[in-house]
Amino acid sequence: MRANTQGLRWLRATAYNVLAIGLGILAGLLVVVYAGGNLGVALSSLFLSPIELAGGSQQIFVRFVLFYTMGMGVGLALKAGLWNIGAQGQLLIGMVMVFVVYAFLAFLPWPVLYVAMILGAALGGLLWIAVPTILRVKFGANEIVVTILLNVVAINFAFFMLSGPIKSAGTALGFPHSVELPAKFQIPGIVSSVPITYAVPATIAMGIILYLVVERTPFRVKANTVGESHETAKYAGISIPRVMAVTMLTAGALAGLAGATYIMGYRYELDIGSFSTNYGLVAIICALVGRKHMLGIGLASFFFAYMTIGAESMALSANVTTYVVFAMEGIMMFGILLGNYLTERRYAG
Amino acid sequence: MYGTKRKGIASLVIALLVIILILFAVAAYAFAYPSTSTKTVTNTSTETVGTGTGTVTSTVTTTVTGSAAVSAIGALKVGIILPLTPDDHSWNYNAYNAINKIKNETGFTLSVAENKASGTDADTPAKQWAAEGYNVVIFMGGQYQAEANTFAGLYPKIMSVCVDCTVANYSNVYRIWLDLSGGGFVLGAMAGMVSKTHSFGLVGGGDIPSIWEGHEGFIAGVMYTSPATPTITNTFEAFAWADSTGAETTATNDYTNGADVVFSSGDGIDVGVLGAALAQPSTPQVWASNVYTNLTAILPADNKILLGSIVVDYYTPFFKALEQFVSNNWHWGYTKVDMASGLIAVQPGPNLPADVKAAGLALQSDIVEGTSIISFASDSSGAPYCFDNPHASSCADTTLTVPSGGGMPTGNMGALFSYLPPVSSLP
Amino acid sequence: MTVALSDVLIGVFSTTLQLSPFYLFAGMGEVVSEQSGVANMGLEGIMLMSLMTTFVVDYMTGNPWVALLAAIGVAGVIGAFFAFTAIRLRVDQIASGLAVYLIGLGLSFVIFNTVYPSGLTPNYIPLPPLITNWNTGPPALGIIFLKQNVMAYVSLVLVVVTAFFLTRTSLGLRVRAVGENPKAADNMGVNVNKVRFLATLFAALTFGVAGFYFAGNFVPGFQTDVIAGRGFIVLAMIYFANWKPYRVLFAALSFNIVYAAQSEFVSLSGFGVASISTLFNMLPYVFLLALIPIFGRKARAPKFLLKPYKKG
Repeated sequence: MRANTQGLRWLRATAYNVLAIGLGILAGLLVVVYAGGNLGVALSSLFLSPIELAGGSQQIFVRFVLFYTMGMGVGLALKAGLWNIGAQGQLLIGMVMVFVVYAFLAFLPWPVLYVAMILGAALGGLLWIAVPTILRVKFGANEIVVTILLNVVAINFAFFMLSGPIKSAGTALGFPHSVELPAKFQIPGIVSSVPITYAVPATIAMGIILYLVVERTPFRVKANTVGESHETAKYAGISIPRVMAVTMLTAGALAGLAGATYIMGYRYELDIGSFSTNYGLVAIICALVGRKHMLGIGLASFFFAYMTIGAESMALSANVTTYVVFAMEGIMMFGILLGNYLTERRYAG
Repeated sequence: MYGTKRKGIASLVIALLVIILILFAVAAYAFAYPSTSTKTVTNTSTETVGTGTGTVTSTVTTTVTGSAAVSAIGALKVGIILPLTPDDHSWNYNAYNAINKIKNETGFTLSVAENKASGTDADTPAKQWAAEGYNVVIFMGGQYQAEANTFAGLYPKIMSVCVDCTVANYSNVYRIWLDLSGGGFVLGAMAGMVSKTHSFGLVGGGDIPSIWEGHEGFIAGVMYTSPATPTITNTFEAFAWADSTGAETTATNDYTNGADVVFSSGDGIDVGVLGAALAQPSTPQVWASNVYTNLTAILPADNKILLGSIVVDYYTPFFKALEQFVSNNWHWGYTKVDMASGLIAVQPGPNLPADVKAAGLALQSDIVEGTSIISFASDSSGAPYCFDNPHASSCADTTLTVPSGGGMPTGNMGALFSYLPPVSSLP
Repeated sequence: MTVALSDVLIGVFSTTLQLSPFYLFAGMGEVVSEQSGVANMGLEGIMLMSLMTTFVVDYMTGNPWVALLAAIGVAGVIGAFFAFTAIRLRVDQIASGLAVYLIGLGLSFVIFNTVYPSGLTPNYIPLPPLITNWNTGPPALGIIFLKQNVMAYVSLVLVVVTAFFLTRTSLGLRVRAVGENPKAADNMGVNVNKVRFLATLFAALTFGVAGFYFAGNFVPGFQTDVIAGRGFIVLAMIYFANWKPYRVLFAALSFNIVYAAQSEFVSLSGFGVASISTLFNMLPYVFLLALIPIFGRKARAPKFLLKPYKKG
């Protein structure tokens, strides 16, 4: 009986999520139609362009890796009641660290340097979230506020690094620009005909590992308890600082790691185009849609990777600004929250 | 009881699946039978590339050839990639309105991708257009140079127009190169005459050769006409041409620090600098300039602060490129947009004293007629030497001496002049 | 470059007074709202919508006052919607705030682009400066005040009013009670959710004014992502000000003084190099962060901030 209710609850929640997503898509279509675009072309772009356009399917997997990696971190921290709004900043720092390691540890032999770049990015994200973590754990300072401030600092810092220490000489006419990573330092594709890099199975493997470590061990209960009530956690003897630190630092490391996969697996260089993205926010949405579950976030990430690419393509075909995708994401997020509310209301009694 | 709940959820899910299936069906239908999406844009562009009073004769080098070309152009599909949006009343505004004007005249299909900050961002819309059978992709900015060339290599039949690019690796890359030094020089000369504090600020959108050349022209102009040794503050904004708020703060600082003229080069920078100038109290008089768009048509008629606009004509080079495309002689195409070719002209601000305006236009006339040629020494990489070596002694921008009676000036300016008339001979 | 120190200081103070009201308007609203227990993370989305509305209505009517009303109206509608979902439906405030931000970010630009697709916008007509003649004091001092329009002074008055409201009026005390101990307040007969709703709505209206003020003082035209995170900074300021209006004033003024000073310094020093100025750009934010060890220890949020209240 209880399993039934849980299953029904999950089903209902998912149904609401789907409805919310449909609402967001509808809003986007409305904008397109109002702007004079052709509805058929818009739908075709939205649903089919990610697979039929050159490079589209590659982008799906790049974004899937990005959102899933960051989303797992956000979801983990959320379990403990902590919001990692700073994912975007940690992502940037991770991207910068890839090139810092590449430039300053260049004496290392190739395989070591390759791994060092990836680890360096994760370390960068971890260090960037270390400040909010310490401030939260030691001083009780609200991590949302600190991570927001650090996001802005991250953009400035990344720009400084890009214009100075990791700037590439001579190319691109003086636009701030890093070096382009040679093929040896890129994440290779698995099969040349399919646009999937090793980052994809690696991320899925990481997701499974995190699922086993977090969802299937007592850590899940610990984190959830801390997230729900500090008093209960204290009575239960759970070390709240430990849980908070572990979740936050992991979240930061994951966001930094996402930066490494994005650069080494897709972009191969850093320029200001990477600064104005909102991937951190989308990762938060994925964490919420995936209901903070390490595998659920994976499904949500894949969906949002597909959806954002399709929506951007739709906006372009209809000669509408790609900012409409932000509005769609916001409406979807809102719908998901409302759906959660309706589900809880039905089952909380 | 659980049965009804299950039924309720089941019907909900089924309904959703049905809706999704319907949407997919429509999408598949549209994919199989695509219809061209058209969008009518009504646009009234009120630019005049030209002059106030004066004796400038600018000859445009190409002309529209007959209706056959026009209808052939009308069948094209053109995409343009903009770094920002047309709201900057500058770079993007000018490009958008120029291509839109051609579209209104010929009826081709136009698609616009805005806010593409870098080459990688430009890749997605470019490839989407390639898949949709577009013929021409305009990359509006030097930051797209690498991408434009890569794209050109992948799609040899598509004309990759690269504006403000120095390198073309393939024959289907059509370069439109921009040289702002003439416009900067004319504005600088006028600024030197009209400034009371002999202190000048420059705010640039990015440390790139074409913007730098405009700055060098301005500095040379100031040095040329300023009766006292001028103080010059040259800033390139941190977040480049998008940072209008940063530009506004920088320009405000410049005015506070005593500058009464600020030269602005580009995009969002213009927005910020003009905002700063408009916000200054009306005395003492301050001035600001802008690039690419004729602001005298946009600012209110009684504005006092406009020194002048460097107006760039993109309509003509775009039209020429499209024309050459349809008549099949567009490979390795190249157009230089500068003052000498008549495609750049300075529109002096309405509030300038008449003699300052006349002097500026006389200098412009010299450049257009080829009497005075501006150039830059280039180094091995093809970029201007002083751009790569700003601290070299020959690039310090501190002296400019014109021989009496006119002639080739000497000094350590980045910009080199073949001839300049003596200042006293100007109107 | 030799510039008189007095000129530099005047410039810094002038910029500070020009920029701070934006943070003050939003700050006062958010203080009241958070004291009642509701935090609105979507404030930047509301500001963007109000900013867009300001420009569009100003272009259409040429009257900045009408634009102000329209901006407040738009903000009120969005705020009411947010308040309803956060208070009545009790959805997670942070998540819904972020959703409002995304919607505001996207929709503002979509609407602006639809109305003005080619960027062919008329000139923005700002509020005129309030003080046009400065005869009373040293002329240099006048520069600070000559540029400011009436809203700048209104924001300062608002700080005083808000502080008074929260500490001396019965409604203000009710607001704080609702945030500190809603159960007790409910027992005393206070309609907790209604008070929270009013506080959140008030906050949204102030965001509308802040969005209006941004136009013309920060940027003369609407562009993509023009507010660029400044709305979120207000949240940090409130935190470090320990939810006290006068301390928010201090935080806003000092943040902007640091910002103006570093910008002035970079201009004067003739660095001109983009990379160095980004380093200095970080200073105001690092400054706020540095306040944590000083004020953060004693920072005590309203006890029931972010916690929805259910009657009974």
